Amino acid sequence: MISRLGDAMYRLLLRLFPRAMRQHRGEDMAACFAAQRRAARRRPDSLIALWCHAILDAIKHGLIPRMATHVGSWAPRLGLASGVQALRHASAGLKRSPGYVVAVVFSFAFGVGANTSVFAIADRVMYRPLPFADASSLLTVGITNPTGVSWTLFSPDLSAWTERATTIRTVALFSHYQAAVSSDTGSEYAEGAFASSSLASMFEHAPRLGRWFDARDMSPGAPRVIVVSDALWRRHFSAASDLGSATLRLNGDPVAVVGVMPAGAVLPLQAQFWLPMRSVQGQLIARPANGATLPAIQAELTQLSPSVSNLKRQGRNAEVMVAPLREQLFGAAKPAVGLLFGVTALLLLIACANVANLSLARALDRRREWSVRAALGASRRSLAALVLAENVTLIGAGGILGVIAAYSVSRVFTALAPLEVALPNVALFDWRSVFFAAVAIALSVLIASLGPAFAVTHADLQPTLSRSNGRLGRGPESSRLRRVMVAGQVAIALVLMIGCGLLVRSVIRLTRVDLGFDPRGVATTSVHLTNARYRQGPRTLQLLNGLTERASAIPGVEGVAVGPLPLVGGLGTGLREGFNALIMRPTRGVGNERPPMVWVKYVNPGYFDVFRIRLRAGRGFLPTDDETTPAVALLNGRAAAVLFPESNAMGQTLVGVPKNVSQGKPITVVGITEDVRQRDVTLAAEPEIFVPVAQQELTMSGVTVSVLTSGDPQSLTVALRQILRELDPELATTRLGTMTGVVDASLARYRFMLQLLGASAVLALVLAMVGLYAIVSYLVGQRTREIGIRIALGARRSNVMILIGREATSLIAIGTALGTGLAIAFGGSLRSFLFEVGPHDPMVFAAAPVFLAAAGVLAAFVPVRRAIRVDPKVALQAE
Amino acid sequence: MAIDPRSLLPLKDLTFRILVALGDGELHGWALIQSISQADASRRILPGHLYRTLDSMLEAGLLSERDEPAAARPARTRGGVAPSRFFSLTPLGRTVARLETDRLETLVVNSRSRRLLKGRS
Repeated sequence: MISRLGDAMYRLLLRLFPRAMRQHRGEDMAACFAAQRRAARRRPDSLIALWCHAILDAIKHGLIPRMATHVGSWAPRLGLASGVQALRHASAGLKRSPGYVVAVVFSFAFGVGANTSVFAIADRVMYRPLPFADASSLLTVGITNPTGVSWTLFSPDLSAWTERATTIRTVALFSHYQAAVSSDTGSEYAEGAFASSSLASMFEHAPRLGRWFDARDMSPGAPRVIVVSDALWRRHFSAASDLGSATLRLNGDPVAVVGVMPAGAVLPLQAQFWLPMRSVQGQLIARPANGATLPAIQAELTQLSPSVSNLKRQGRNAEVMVAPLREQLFGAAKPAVGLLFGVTALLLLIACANVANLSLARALDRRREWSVRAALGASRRSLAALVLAENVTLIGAGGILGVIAAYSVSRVFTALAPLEVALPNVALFDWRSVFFAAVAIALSVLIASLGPAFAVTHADLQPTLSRSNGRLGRGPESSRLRRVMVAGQVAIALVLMIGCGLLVRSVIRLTRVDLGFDPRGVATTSVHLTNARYRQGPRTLQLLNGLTERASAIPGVEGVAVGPLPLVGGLGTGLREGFNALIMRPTRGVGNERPPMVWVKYVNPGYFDVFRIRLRAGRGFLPTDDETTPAVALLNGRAAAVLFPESNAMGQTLVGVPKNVSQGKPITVVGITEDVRQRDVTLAAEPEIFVPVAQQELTMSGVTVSVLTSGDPQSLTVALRQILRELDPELATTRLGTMTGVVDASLARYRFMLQLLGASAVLALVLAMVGLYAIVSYLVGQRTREIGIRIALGARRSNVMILIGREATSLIAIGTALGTGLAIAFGGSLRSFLFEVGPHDPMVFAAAPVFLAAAGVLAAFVPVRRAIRVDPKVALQAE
Repeated sequence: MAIDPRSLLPLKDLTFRILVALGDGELHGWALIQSISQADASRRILPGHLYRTLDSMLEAGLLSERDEPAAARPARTRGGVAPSRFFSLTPLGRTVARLETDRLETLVVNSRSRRLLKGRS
């Protein structure tokens, strides 16, 4: 595996060579280098040296000739012949410092690569136009209600707006749908949508084969038709070039394919198929009338909406919300993307400051060389070009490597990061990303080169020639500049460390949250019951009983649960996976306060044992709780407190339960459970009622089955899928996995940000400490004579340590003060990623500078030690 | 038009070393690197430098190249490389190598005759 990684890395390096050479010699070069690596493997330092030389080889014999070829044709016209010469000289000089080369190249490869990757995502989320005609004018419409914003609208509102609104000119509708799609090739469970006939024309995309829906397809009794995506057409019909009489089975029922649409051409973005919308209910997309503003549209639609009027009559605040389509699609991802961008930009800045610092040190060390060149007639401009050439070579090489890496990992990055940025068939990485990378590289070169170029062009070179070693004494401007850069690096490193510390505390708190259940040892799968056979309750119950019986017989299974999983449910409307939402009034009439949302879950007796949900009082469900016995229910603690605030809920009868839940029977509370988090680890439990699945006339659209095992739950997922296939081959399963995986997925967003910020903080700290080490070393070198004199005059070694240590301490102190101020000012941007931790948490703000100071002590240790070991005789003779 | 071998002198260091290494017969890329390293352990040749030089030498007519068909390729060498292209000297290459050797020999003899290296054999 290490060998393969080495091969992959060398092939990345090969991209610096001209294409013709790569194509003709690439394989042989890779094979040679692989052999050299094998030979060098016995000694790690030899392998590192080999890689350093390989990078230099790629720059000298690949990148520079490549650049020279491009520049050579027009360089004379632009007077750049000296530039090419400067590049050649730079590569010769860099050959003597392989460690410096590797450090700079990799810093910038990471910095530019990370920035370019994040820019590609940020561009898609925030700036790049959506792939629809006049996309900026497209709007979505929703209604705010007690639980948030509902983007699914119903018939009365849509009819009122379509007939009477003057501020919108075109509307289209769609609603999400999922179904089992099968053909002779195979079956799958796919995302799709019901769509109005105006949807395709709204986005100005036509099917590439066949047609979109028209008015005939919408009428009741019309033949069943479907439009499919390119990808689904390819999977089931091998991308045939004409439709012929293609048919599919949708939940077992035949449907004719009338059109093939490119994916992402119309909403919803992930849809694989579209069906004609026969009921007027869905998500509304609108184009505004000429001159209509958002506030005007919002006001008119609010005034015309029957739903809003109803809610207001019930005493609730409600209004219509109108938002640009982009905001509704990508708004949730903006905070994360913004934070990513900020972090990677800070890293690039730190890398620039580091290179500027080291480059300035190198330039100052070569003052004698500059003086000799100046004396021989070189202009200051050409001297600056020499300095610039080094940075162009290194930063350019690092930047190009970074861009190649960003291109290679851009898709992987999107898949790993829990961000909702899907835009199928639109390239993530395009000329805009490359342009951004070029600008980032150019800015980096500028920032990193300003100091050293200034030092060379504005210094008085003449006195240097008369000095014995060509070094300067203390140069106030350059030294101050380097101190400022190091303090800046320390400040940025501290900001990233504080951010990392806040996220660490959040993640620790998240992992300690009492979820109310135990996810260990549980395998789970969801089944969608959209087939017409399951519209009858007894068939569903028969399926569940068969499933429970067979699953119980699997070796190692200790229990089988039927019912919605914790942490994923609660957001559907209607019956989905045995989960329904009720708005109930408290039984004792607690005034006119807003009635709470209470969730209803249909579960089997084994549900509480499988998830180890503790009972506070009473009993769980029994196998005898069925349609022949009195209706019973369990409440969670929250529901008990909300529905029976002044009495014990045990033995009480639930009032106001809709008939589809109660089946017309009074429901008695027989037990109270602990609270379980339904939606998200960060959200407190909401009121829940559990009813036995055997006492329901089940017409659910889906069901979730989970099994508890003492062994590895992952090994049961295959067995579960097999049982379902045997019971009904048309059933499609989704979300096959373990409960531990579900919990991990709910924490994924926080963990991802923590990993990113953690890696960034470590890298920033290393770079800052390298900068600190460099400047303290430089100061020791500059003051060697002074130290020698002081010791000769009787100063103790501890005094010398304090003298030099004070320099390092002042830099760390200034950087810490600056960094703390920045963290306080911008800490709020992290708020949405924190859990039970404030952005100005005192413990983190106290601990981070301590770690930073400790790292600073380590960085300054070697140069300070060198200072206290100065031999006065040697120091005084050194000049 | 025939190239005057003397117009190619003096040779660059790696060019000369390659000519010398190929004096005993054709070699592939990795074998060339090993041969040069054996002659001078301090000399580290990387593939980029090597193949750019080989391409220049091919263009100048000093070397010729032979592709080994896949079926005829020997098993992987101890270095793990399955060689596919072999390089060998052309008559021009042999002549240039000889001329460069003579030139360097003359330089060495001259320098030994000067006060600088007096006393060294």
